[in-house]
Amino acid sequence: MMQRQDIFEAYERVKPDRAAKERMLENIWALAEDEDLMKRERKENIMKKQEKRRAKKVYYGAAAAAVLMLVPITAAAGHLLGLWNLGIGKQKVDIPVKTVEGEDILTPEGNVQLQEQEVDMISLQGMAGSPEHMAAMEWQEFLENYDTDGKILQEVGNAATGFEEEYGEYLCYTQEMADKIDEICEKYQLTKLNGFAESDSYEDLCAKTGSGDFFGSSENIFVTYGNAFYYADGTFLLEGTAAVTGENACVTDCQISRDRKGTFNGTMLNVGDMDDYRQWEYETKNGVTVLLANSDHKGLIIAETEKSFVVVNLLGDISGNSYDVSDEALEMLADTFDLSET
Amino acid sequence: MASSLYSEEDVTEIYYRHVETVYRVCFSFMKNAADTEDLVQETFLKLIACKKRFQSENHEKAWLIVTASNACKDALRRWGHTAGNVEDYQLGAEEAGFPEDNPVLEAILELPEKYRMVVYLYYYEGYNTAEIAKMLKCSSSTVRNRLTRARKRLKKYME
Repeated sequence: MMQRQDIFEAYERVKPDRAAKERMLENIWALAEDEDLMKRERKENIMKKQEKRRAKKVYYGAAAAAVLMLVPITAAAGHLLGLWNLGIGKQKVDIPVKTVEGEDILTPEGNVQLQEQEVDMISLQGMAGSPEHMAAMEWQEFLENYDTDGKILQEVGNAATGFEEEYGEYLCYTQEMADKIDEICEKYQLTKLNGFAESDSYEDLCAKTGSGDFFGSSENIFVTYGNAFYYADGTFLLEGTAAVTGENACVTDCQISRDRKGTFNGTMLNVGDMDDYRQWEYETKNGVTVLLANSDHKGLIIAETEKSFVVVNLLGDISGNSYDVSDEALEMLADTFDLSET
Repeated sequence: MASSLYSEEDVTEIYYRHVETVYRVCFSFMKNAADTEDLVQETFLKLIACKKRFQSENHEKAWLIVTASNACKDALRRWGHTAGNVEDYQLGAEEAGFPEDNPVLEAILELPEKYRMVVYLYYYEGYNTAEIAKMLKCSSSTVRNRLTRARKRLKKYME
């Protein structure tokens, strides 16, 4: 059994020797002296912007004059309605404070400076009125009023609680929390998540969860697998990257979650302010009606199938801190992902 | 160095104070010594270009950890791949700078990137989950979740 000390010792052995330290320092001085770093940075930024402008010009020049018709959401029975129909409520979260250049501001202690903000949370398990959604609402309500000052968690610390095996997916650290999970599952006739495992590849995930080739195929869109985990019932979460080429070119990190109906999963998604989203229903090339929601920081593709609830969360370029998925690109992505067999 | 807030002496001091930390962070991402050295250099070049004055050594260290991990992620993205499997580097372990006979490290480096960082920050650097959450810009529960999953996965590797 691996102990904390084993991990410490394993890392302790990763270090540069004296020669490597001196070599790196010499290189740093050589690079720093070769050019004025700030000038180089400014020049690179200007070049990047010029390149982007040129690229856009080419795309626009070659584009056919296609106008996207956004179908307004109407409250019709059997339809996906809108994000508000997935809402779990508002939650206060800490958001990093940024400079005008978009950089994080640090506190004197070296932590990222945070500001409390109220955001909308949505369920990833089902629409309002479904047992999965009601269960998520009830669990969220419980969490909001439980251990509000964090004292119990502090007492528990990082030691093993004994709840890891059966209630670990719900982050339970007391018997009271575990009891609440059981109560919710019984009330809404849901089963607990179990059989957590991680997949080694996209093919492995599809095989283990019995899902079809949901990445689909397209000449203009490339989806790559990053990592994924799944449960015994076929519920899974995959993280990867999607790249759209051509007129609506963009690269975005993405998460695809599939929740099996009949299972309780307390995971929620922070969507910021729901009012920031443009939302419309869209029928994909695979004949699945999806809800599309797009904003200047996040895009969502949401589908409800007979057995599952699927949410594709598009995060933009996380490392570049940017989001440039257009409404057209979102529709192209919805057409590519084949959610009909999920 | 004309535009830097720091003198050569300042940078050298900071470098020797934190180079091992920055090296470990970069090695966690890059998994080989050559790429790690490049990214360590890039991180300290960012320090030279940085317009911030650090108010404590902790501040300095946290900034370097976050900057190094962002630089590594950018590099991996720029190069259009994720760092290879540990086995790839074991073929030439000595040249790759991979510490020999270190199965625990091998298991850690097989973890997905987001788990590796929390394992490193928690078990080696000794940050608590709230501090890690602030550095990685996520919630404490996400950090605890990642630690739980990392532990499960490490357990599997070590069996």
